[in-house]
Amino acid sequence: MGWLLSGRRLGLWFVVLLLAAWELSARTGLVSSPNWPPVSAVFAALGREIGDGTLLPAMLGTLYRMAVGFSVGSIAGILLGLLMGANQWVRWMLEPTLEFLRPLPVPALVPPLILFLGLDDPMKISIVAFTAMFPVLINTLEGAISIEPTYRAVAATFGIPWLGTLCRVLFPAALPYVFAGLRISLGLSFVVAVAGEMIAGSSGVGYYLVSMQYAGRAADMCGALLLLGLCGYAVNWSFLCIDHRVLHWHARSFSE
Amino acid sequence: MRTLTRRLMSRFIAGGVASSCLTGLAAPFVWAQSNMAKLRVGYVPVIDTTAFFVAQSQGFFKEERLDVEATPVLGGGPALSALAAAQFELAMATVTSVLLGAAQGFDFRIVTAVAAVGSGPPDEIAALLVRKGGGIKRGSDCQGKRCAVQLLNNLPWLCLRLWIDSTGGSSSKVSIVEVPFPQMSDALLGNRVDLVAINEPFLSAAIRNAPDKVEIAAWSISQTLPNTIVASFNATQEYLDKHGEVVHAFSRAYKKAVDWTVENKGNPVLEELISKFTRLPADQVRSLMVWPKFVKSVDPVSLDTMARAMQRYGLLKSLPDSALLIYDSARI
Repeated sequence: MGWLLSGRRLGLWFVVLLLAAWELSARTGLVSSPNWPPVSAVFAALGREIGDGTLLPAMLGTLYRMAVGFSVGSIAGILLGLLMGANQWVRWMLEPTLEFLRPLPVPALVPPLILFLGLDDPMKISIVAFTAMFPVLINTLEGAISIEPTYRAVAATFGIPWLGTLCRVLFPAALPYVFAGLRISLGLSFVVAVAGEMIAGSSGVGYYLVSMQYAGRAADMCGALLLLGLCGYAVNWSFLCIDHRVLHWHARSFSE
Repeated sequence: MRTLTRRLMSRFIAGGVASSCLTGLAAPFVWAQSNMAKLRVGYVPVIDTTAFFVAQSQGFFKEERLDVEATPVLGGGPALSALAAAQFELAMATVTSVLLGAAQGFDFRIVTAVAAVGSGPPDEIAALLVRKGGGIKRGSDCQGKRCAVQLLNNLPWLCLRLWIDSTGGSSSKVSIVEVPFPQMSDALLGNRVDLVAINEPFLSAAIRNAPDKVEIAAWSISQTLPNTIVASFNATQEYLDKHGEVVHAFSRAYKKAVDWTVENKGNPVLEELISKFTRLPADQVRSLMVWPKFVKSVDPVSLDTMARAMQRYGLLKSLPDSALLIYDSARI
């Protein structure tokens, strides 16, 4: 019995408890609304929509846009963060513009972006990249300026050129910060990819969610949400595996 | 080696002959495809778009040598933005969105009517729904109450204000909030709002799910703007100047589809088609209380009436030239 309730299994049981509460509340009429279907109906709808080939292609489309946008935004964030960390003139030049752009909400950016980029992947990938860039940039910058001055001094003593210092000293030392930023960006990229499809999409899980909502198919909509949650969990878990592998030398990774 | 070469040669010749035959067979099809005009159309997957899908499924577009690529969009706003960005040749939107776009300098033109309302049900698409016993029967009963619409500054919002002001109330003293259609009945029954301007199929669903708790206070559009065009397919003037004949072909096919739709109302084939493109369950399609009126042309008078109402509530500063906004293909 102790084994059943120990460690990570406790989290699983908590999820089961929540699902049971949801099922009971819908079945007994405690929450009476067509928008609150029983969990059993949600799982049935999910199985049906996966079986007839509707949901998985939509999910893959969203994951593709998320991955591309995340990659583009992360690379931009890392490069800018390192540049700004390595050279304070670059930092002084870019910081005001970046701090102005950072708090802009994505739903407000979508309409003008439609005018320039249309409704398809370029627009959606752009908003994901825009969102993903900032956490990575800020964390990379923080990592770059937090480096021990001794490291830079040693690099200068050995006559390593500026670019070499950037790639072989600053970047590896900032890597724990970079990965922290990447992990935050990953979650945000997922959210923004779906949100972009909900605002102005014609494909993907976001569009599917809104279509099902407006077709009055709450069970199908909740099923898609469930799949989204599972995919998000899987993506995050995969990232953590990569994180542990790359940063095995870093003390922080041992505590997780 | 000589045998191998002969074998290879004969296979090569056989392959060449087969390819030529296939090319010959495919040629008329390829020629036909290349002679068809390609049209990218943005549509909103609601019941109003029925005639468009009838035209697709019945082959009316193909008869007019049109290769129509339909892309669903979630609303008229994104559709018109994509139209302005030349991502679509035609885009569907409510007439209020088109008038607002035209007022902002976009050269949109209405090329076909999509849906209208008549002078009352069943030619209607929306209603003002209230709680039974909530005491709201007229606009004067809405003072100090909270009303919900799908989108502010759009058609349901406009009609709600017209109804309140024309039935003894003052719409400027009423709180109007945005609630998505699927959540409107929950908001009403949960006492979060006192009145909702709700469209089909959510209207029928709300009444079906709680017939003893909700009632219709008024028919939203037909009581305030009767015999009005609600939605249209639109193009830019720039596109019309270059490809007017394509739009006329689209309009001819569309009008045939409207006739077919009107003749086949209640036909299970039509209901299945609607269920397919809207993703609505077929039984919900069958139980709709009201339906949009499918029409073939746009009356400039109804457009003027809509524009005057929009001007009254500050959406438009000046009245547009309806004659200019309606392209030939959409005229009576």
